Amino acid sequence: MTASAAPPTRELGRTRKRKEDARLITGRTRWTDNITLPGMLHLVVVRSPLAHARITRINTDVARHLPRVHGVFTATDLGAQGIRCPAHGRSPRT
Amino acid sequence: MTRLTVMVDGVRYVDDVEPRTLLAHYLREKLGKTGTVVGCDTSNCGACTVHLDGRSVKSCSVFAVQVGGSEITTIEGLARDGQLHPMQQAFHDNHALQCGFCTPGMIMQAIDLLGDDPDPDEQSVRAGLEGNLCRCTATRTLCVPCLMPRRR
Repeated sequence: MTASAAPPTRELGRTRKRKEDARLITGRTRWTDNITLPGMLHLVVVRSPLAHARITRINTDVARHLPRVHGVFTATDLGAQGIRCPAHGRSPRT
Repeated sequence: MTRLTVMVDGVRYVDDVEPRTLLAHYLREKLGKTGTVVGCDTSNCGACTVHLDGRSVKSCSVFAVQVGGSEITTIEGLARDGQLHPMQQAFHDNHALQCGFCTPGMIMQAIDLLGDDPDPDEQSVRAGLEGNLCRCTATRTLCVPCLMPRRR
């Protein structure tokens, strides 16, 4: 089977140019990290350094009082706002 | 802090920068030139590629303080008077991009590659673009803009 040399009929076979390239090829894409808004804050997620452990206590005192820290939130704080974190299953027995 | 004087996309900037500041971060955060993006932490991806005194460099692997007195061109400095650089046009014409994240770095490196060899074969283009990673397209597609001279 060879490629047909017939001109495209209707839509199939037509060359199409992309419509979104103007920003992408000139470095004006609005990637999330490219966006700056007035009064913008930065969120950092602090994760457990241990792969499998039981959290007994989270002490946020020092972090909360660091200069330019606007807030430190744990699951307890979210719960107080009515935000429920999905619960993981029980720890597997090892 | 170190006083840095540098020309970027035709404009002279004077700033005090920490010696540890990467050129990529100086461009993005100090100058607001977010056209140059950071795609990895390992200097593998090449998305941050710019031209330093006419040669391509990964701006994540250059300290801002190293470019004092030099001329930097970013993706944002390629178009002149609203006219796209031929390589920018070639990427559009040949569908050599999809999401566009790697594209600025890819274009900057493609220009450098043709500067070294104005009429490369596909193998040379593949080798020349080795330092620029793309998750969307096929390498063959990315090579086409640099093979345009040969195709004419």
